[in-house]
Amino acid sequence: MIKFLFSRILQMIPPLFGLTIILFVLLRIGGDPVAHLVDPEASVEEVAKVRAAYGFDRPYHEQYLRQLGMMLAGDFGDSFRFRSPAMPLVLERLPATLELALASMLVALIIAIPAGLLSAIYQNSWLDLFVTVGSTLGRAMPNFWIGIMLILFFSVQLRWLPVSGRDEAASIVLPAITLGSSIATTLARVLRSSMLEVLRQEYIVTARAKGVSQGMVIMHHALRNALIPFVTVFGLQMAWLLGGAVIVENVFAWPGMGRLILASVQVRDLAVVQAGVFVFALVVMVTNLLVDLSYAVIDPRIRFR
Amino acid sequence: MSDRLYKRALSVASLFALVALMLTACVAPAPGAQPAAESAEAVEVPAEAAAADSSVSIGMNELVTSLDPPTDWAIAATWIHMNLFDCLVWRNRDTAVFEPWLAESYEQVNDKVWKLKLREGVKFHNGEEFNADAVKWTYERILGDETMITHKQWLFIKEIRALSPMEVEIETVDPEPAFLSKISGTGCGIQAPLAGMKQKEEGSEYTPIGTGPFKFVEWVKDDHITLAANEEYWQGAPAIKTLIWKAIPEVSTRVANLLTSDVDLVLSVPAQDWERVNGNEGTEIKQFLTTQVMLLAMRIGPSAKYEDWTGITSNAKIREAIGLAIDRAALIDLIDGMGIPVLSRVTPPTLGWSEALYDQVGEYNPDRARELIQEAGYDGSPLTFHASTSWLKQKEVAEAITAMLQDVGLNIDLQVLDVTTFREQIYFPYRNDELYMDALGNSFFDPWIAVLSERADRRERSGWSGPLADEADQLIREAAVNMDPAARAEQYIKIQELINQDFVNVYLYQMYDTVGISKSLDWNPPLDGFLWMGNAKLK
Repeated sequence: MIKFLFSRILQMIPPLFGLTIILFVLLRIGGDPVAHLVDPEASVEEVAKVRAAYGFDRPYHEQYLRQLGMMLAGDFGDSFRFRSPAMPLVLERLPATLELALASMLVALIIAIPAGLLSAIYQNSWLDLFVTVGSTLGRAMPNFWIGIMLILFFSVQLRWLPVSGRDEAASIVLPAITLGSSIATTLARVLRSSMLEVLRQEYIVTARAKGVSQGMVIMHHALRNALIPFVTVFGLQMAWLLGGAVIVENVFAWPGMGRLILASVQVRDLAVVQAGVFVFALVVMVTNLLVDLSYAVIDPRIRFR
Repeated sequence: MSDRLYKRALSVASLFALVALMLTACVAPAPGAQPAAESAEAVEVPAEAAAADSSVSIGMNELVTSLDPPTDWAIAATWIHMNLFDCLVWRNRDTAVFEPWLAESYEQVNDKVWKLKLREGVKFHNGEEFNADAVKWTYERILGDETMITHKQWLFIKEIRALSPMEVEIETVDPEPAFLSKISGTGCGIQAPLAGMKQKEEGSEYTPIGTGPFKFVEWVKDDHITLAANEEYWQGAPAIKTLIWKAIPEVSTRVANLLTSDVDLVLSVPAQDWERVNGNEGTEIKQFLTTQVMLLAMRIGPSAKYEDWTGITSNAKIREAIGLAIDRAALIDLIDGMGIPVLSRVTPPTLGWSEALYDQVGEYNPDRARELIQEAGYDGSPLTFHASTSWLKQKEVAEAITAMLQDVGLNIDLQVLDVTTFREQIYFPYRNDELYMDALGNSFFDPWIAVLSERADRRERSGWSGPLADEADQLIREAAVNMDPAARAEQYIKIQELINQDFVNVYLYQMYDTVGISKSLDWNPPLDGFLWMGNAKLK
């Protein structure tokens, strides 16, 4: 187990290293941060002065190596916008994003598990059709549109829930439903198909022939075996969830990392974007590791080497 | 349990679980849901400041990136700063004239020296006395720090001398006719020197301490800023006791917050929401005129950053045809009437504005435009037209202009870019081709900045040259140091005429903006929409 963990942690290093290169190329070659550091009336000389002050006049490889050296020392540089270290800015927002991600996962599970189970049990019924159509529609509707519709209905029309922000406990309900419902659709379909496959297995037929109750067959024999693909997809959805958080946080003015990264991308606040994407990547990798570890809990036959 | 009963129970349980989740989430407190303040509290908040009925919230697209005025020049940041800090001179937002503020009076000693008598009895939020040392420290700090974004705006100051504790003399590098305008420009807020020096020595996080109507309480970056009334304010305590600036980037969410009374004021309400806001009980839309002028800028020749440029707009007949092909009245209809047609960037009440160039649709003559294009021997080669999407219906306006120009026979290659790409790839590398559209403001209310881009050393985007350009250059330089306001106004009018005579730019319209406001808030947007809340009240 320890060997497995150690090996998995080592495997995280090359992708993170690759990420630094991709980010550097996209951010430096894709745009010019100096355009956001000077006022619209700035002269050519003033622009050149700012470029030199931030080291953007140096060759790209030199800039990258300097940045990599700083990152290895734990320094992601300073935010141009806030004139303060980038990583603390990102980490201050991490709890809000994790809170939203966890609440969204909970919403997703509460929607996906019953929907997937019912859809499999009642295969080809109106309920199955409802879940299938609902999943397709849910996947097709963009997050920001769902979010705005929920605000208009629950906040503006009914006045039940706060529109935006993170000032009160109920503030999380609408962003969590917006984000959670989008991954629930995928999860419900995965659970449905894996349940259908398991329900056709001989040991299920045998259990039923022995007179085991339907509840016992579904919950004890079928669901547990159907969970492995479900949990795998659930882990993979973390990346989708964090990507969606960028949009959902913006719609609901939720003060998380996603909103910070989006605002930073718009003005090429390089250090914050690098630190933010790095933390996002790390969260996704750790989640996938936890998913792998959960296999052993779900299926005791699985052993890590 | 039979299969049928089991399935029914499962269905009911699933539905119950969904409803329970929503209800639980509605009432249960979420651990850690309160954001932590970014910065230490600057002042003790008076108990009455927390009173809910005297609290006002403002929904903004974005907040400050710094609470230190000279380090953030964005207009939204200036609004917040000016509620914390006072300047020496104030431009009255209703009458547009300069008024004494922290300087009780001022006089021009000679062309380069101004003497200012400071207001006595004014205290900073931390109890420090406001005096000449504070003025000297504030401006010398900006002049000594090249990294401050407003640093270059203050280089007109040569020296600040404290003549007595309540009297300062400011000497400018050159004769400075725009002195009052510049001294009340971005970064002008006077800061508490002792607290500032202590913060610098200790290397602690910057805390804003001014003399303004509101004191700093809390800043959660990119989320909200809370200010409390300065009960000792020299003009009397503000009626609003707590002022909260909230960052709500999505416009639909901002409007929804106004409709549900979660905020009292929101900026830039899109036209499609006006009816909803006006129809909602307790909210309304108010319009105000900005200083932004939308213009179509043309490249006339190459410049140092674009030496190999060649294009059809180097021909004056083509440029004139472009001006004649544009129907400003139609463009203003397109933006729901949110503009005033202009033929210049200098708009009232700025010195040098001209009735002949303001609130004028100009000549719209597509037939003459076609003739000019024919006379110019136009061969059908495409004109690249860059536009961004940062302003109200800018994409639609760019498309309409393209249609108008195509109608007179020009081949237009319209490239609409997002604002980031436009700034990074066109505007700041000075790689604009034949045409680009942008809106430029004038927060100084002085004409020097409106024509600066046509001074000979600043023509990277126009490449303007020739006898008219030379004359304009000379006038721009002379007007910048002309201390006679009447003669200076004439010079700026002449400069605008020269720009128009050579068809350097086609000015389109001065832009209106809107606020959505709660009817319980007694506050009217001033001429430039400046959000100074020291005089706001709740009805």
